[in-house]
Amino acid sequence: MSRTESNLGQLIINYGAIIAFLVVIIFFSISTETFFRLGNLQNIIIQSTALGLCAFGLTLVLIAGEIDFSYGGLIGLVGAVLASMLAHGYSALSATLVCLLIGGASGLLNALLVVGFNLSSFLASVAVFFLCMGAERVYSHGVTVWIQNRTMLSLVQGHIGPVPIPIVLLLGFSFVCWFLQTQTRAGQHVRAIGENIQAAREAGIRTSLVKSVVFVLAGLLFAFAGCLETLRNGGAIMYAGKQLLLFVLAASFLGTATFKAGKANFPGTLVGAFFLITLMNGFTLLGMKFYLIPLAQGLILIASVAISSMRRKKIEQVKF
Amino acid sequence: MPTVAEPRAKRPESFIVRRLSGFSIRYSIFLFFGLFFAVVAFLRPNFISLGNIYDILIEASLVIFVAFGEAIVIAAGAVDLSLGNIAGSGAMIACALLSVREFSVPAGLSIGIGAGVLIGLINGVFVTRLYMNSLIATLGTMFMLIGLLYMVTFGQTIMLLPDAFTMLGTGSILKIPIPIIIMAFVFLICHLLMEKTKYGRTIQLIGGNIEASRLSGINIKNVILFAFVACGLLATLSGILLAARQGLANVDLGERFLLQAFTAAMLGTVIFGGRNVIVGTFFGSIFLISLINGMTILGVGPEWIYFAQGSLLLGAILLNYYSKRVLPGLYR
Repeated sequence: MSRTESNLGQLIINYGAIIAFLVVIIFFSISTETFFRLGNLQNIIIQSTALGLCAFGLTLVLIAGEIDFSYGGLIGLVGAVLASMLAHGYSALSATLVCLLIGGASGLLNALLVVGFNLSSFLASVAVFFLCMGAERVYSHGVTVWIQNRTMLSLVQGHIGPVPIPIVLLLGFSFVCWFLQTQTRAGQHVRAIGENIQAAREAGIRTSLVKSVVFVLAGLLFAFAGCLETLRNGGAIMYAGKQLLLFVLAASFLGTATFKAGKANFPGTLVGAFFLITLMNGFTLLGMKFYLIPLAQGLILIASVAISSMRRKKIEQVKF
Repeated sequence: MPTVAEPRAKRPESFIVRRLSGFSIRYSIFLFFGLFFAVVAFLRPNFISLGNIYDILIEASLVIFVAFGEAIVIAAGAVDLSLGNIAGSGAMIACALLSVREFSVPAGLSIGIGAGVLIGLINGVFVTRLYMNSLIATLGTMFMLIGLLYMVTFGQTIMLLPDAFTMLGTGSILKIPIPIIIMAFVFLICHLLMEKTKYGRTIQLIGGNIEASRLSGINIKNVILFAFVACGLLATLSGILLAARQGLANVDLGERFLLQAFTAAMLGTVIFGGRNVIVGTFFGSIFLISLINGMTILGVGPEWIYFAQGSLLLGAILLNYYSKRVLPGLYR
């Protein structure tokens, strides 16, 4: 392989997602009139909020070298609980706290299965995913509950000054996540565990504790994202989490193809979330058919994962 | 990327304890289902009538090939989440050709099965040539297939299938339903493939220890690829049989296969402690289907049946973990 080729490959691996993102933005700006307007761009960021926060949770787990699918069920469960609690007259604060509690409990369950029972995190979190989905179905009986609570809805509809609250939330959370992960000792420990757990253990990091905390934090992020998603939908719709399943996964893996060459990172995930929502937004503006959405999701997921795993040169096994 | 946790080898104290634990894992499954059947048969005698047993076997024969496919892929140390959609795509293509384009039955079937094999091949290339994690790669394939299938068929339901085709699902030879005959045939082939041929033995070797297989000069890439192709083939077979049984095909034909096949294959891997996976999966499928059948006869709501399947999957995974990591040396 010549030198220029390997440089080009390096460029694609490091900045592939950003280049593709720019291409997509230019394409939509030219092909539709409404895409590049302030209102639409603002809309894209607002729509990215729940997806982004959820993907941050997944990114945190990916940095620790594990994976967590439980959000696919948890988001729906949290939504059902939130909507029905508000409908029964509980305050916005208490409903949110209960939702976060559920998220933390689900994270704790993941941690128990992965750290305590030494199960593969794939399997453990898929089991929790199904468990949450079953619980949602039993709890809600498939009935859609709409939310009327003004305080709660202002979380997605309100403004601070001229800036919509979701944008503040998304950018705030991404900064906090990035800061905690890269600038604090505990955050560095998370990365160390993901890179080489044996070395981390021998360096004196309490790997079980850090991993458990990571799963619980991820559960909390998923639950909060679930609340936002429910509010954005205006109510609890059956299996809302299932629709986000691939989006979140794709956003996090797109992040690994951005900035940090094959490794999960928060800024990359933020770009990934924007990228996906932009794509969907543009598709809608162009009047594309609904069935192109799963097709595009699958393609993007495969392309982004391929970019981040091609360099490994080693078949990865799934152990049960 | 996720790494596999270090096996924490705790050796039980004595031979007798190990033996007892091994037996209890193996027979607890039989005991659990035996008790369940006894209770259902006591409450609803219909459950063990010949007609219902035929029903269970036919239902099992529809899901069993996908389960075999998943068991083969799991034995190779990978997993396939797209098999329900492979089944749906293959069956839809075959049915569309038969009904709309009026192909002859052998031609339509072979093109449908060919499509399934091709998708399996693509999955295998993702995993072995692009080094993608099989769970994520097949999740991507799954969603691509959902989109593609809608694009090709516009979400239509295909009916008016030729009689020669629906015979596959509804006919019988010497009073034995054809699906059961096909099931017995495919069961035998898969079992011989996994236990008596070089490819089958190699698949299990790779699933057990990929590093040792590489060092002993096995072409691991091609063997894992082969497992995915076999899975695609078997999944399509299931889809086609289901379409023939229903007499129609629609886009979410294969939707129910994923959870059921995964659960049956996981049970099958556990029952004989990682050996004889095909025989194990055969039992796993029958147990699973009769569990669903029994719960339906008892009048249990669909959400609880779903819940029971999920718990069964989790239980099988935990048992598998226990028998592989906590009781090492007993089985392998």
